[in-house]
Amino acid sequence: MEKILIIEDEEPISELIRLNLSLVGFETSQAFDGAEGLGCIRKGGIDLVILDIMLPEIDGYQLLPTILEKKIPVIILTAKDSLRDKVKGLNLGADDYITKPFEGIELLARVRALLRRAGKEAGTKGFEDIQLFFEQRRVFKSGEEIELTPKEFDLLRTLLENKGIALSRERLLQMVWGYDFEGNTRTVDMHIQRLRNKLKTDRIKTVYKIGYRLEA
Amino acid sequence: MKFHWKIFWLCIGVYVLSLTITGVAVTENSYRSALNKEVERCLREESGIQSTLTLYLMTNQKLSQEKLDISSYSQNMVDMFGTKGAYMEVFDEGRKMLSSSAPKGWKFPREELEAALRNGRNYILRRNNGRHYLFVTDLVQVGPQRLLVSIISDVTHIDEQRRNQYLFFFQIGLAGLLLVGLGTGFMSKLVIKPIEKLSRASQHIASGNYQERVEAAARDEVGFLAEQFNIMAAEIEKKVAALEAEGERKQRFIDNLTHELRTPLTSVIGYSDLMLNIKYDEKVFGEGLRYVNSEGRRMLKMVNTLMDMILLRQNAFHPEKQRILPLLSEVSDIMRMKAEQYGVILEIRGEDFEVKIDWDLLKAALVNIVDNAVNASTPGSTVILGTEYRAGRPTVYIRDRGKGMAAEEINRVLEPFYRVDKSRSRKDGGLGLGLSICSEIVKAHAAELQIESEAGEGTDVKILFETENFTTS
Repeated sequence: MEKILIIEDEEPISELIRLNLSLVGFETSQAFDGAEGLGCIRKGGIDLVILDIMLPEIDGYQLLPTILEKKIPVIILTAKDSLRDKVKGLNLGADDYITKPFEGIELLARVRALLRRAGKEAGTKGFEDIQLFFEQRRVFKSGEEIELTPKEFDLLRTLLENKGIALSRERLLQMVWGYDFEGNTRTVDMHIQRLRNKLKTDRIKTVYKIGYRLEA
Repeated sequence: MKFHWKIFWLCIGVYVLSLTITGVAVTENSYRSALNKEVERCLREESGIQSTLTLYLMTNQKLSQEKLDISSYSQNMVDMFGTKGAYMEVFDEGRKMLSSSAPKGWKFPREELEAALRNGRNYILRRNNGRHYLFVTDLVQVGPQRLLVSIISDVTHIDEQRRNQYLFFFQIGLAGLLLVGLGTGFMSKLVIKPIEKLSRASQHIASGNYQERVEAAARDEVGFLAEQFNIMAAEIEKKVAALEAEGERKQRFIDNLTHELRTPLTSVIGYSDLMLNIKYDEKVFGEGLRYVNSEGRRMLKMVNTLMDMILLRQNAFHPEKQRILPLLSEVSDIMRMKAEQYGVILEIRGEDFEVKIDWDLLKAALVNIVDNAVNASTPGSTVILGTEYRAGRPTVYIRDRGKGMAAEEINRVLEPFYRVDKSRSRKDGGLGLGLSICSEIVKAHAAELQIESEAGEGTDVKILFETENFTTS
């Protein structure tokens, strides 16, 4: 399991990030100021850092070089959305940035993308007796392979990666089919129905007035 | 046209005009005097000839007994007169030409002959075929007979003299023009140089390089202009710097405000989002709702505080004459609990005076300042709430021997949202607005807030009141 370090001095926000990450199955640890963060990094075992810029003691910009030295990918979290700050962060070697306020799903997507790029993502994930192998794009249920179309596979993967979080049909459409897909939300419903049938699972729940959620 | 060209052409113009006037005046004057001299010379010559002729004719008349035919002598007379470049003509009383040595074919209206018959000698100047002639005409009386004698001299050489003089002036002028041209060209460049420097400097300043100055060496009008220009540039630089500082301060305020608003909003939106999208879980929902609530309240507190600041600026301010020491003891009473917790001693010093204040507002400000002082103090140290006179102004001061601040922090502590110790202040629920509100309150009292501090030495916050607002007791 990937371990993510959250360096953020605002307790509510740190807690919010932790909740979002652990919900989908990431391991987390929290640091509430720069010095504490530095200690956690030195200890090792961190796969990715979410770093606030305005920190007491040692600010985020000062922490960046130490983190990068260890080849740990960094997402900068900042309330300053001025272009100058973003550019400064990225120039210093941060891999991505996210501005407050942020959406949980957005944060998760960025964390995953970055882990994938760094080659630190787990190759397989599963729930119940169902196991997904991302590289090979194959799905097994109790050791038996299930045939899925590419879109069905992507949809299942998206649901699994946002396990426990309800995703609206519009968002699923956008995440799986892409922005320029011209279908409607009925497409999502049809694919979900087919997934449920093929996988013979009741864990893909319909959330009233919102969308779908994979419950672990 | 460029200014140095203007100077150049002006100088050339003046030179050419003055040289022309001088040249014409001198040449014409010398021409006239040369001509006059020539005329005088000819007149003198003529009177010599006239007397010689008269004598000759009279002698001949005496020698011949019979009546002399003067007309037949005329040819002899002309022959006798043999001056080079001059001619003689002899006429009888009827203006009939008797003889002449002048070239044939001259056709002049000889009005001077008539004048000579009436008034005697006269002269006239005539031009013909590019040559200039002087006609001197006189009457010769021999007995009853009268003859008219005209001596015609060629005075063309005087005209030539004039032409040569003009030519000479022209050549000299041309050489002078060259000199004057080079000279003024150089001079105008020299005059223009400081002006060009000035113009370049102003261009630089216009393009935003406000440090630019010009050297003002010369003690002339241009030097004075450069001096004034430098004063103006310094003034602009100062104003621009002040504007930039003000702009930066405003930008920081907006940045900070955005930050301070976004942080609680991130929690409110983030938690509500999460709760909307996950399956109900009592622990997570309980925690989430608590954060939504507390962060919402934090935003409300901030909005209220900012509103207070704005209202304070709009004069929700009612000053009355009050004693200052009772106010200090009230502040000290309010803060005593906290001070004891921190192991800090509060002490009141100085003499009482009366000053026009808004009791509640100033109390709030002082509580805030004392709170900061207690926070910064080490256990066992003393925070002094005192009064004194500074430069004749009644002053309240709050002095601690705590952490103090670095110089660059002092300038910023009055700015909204600025926190010296960010983490602690946040946890205490502080907004970082305390001292900016204090500053507004002090401003409302027409007083001055001064902060002196040194890292590790402690901080001294002073409120200096206006002299007219107080009376000693």
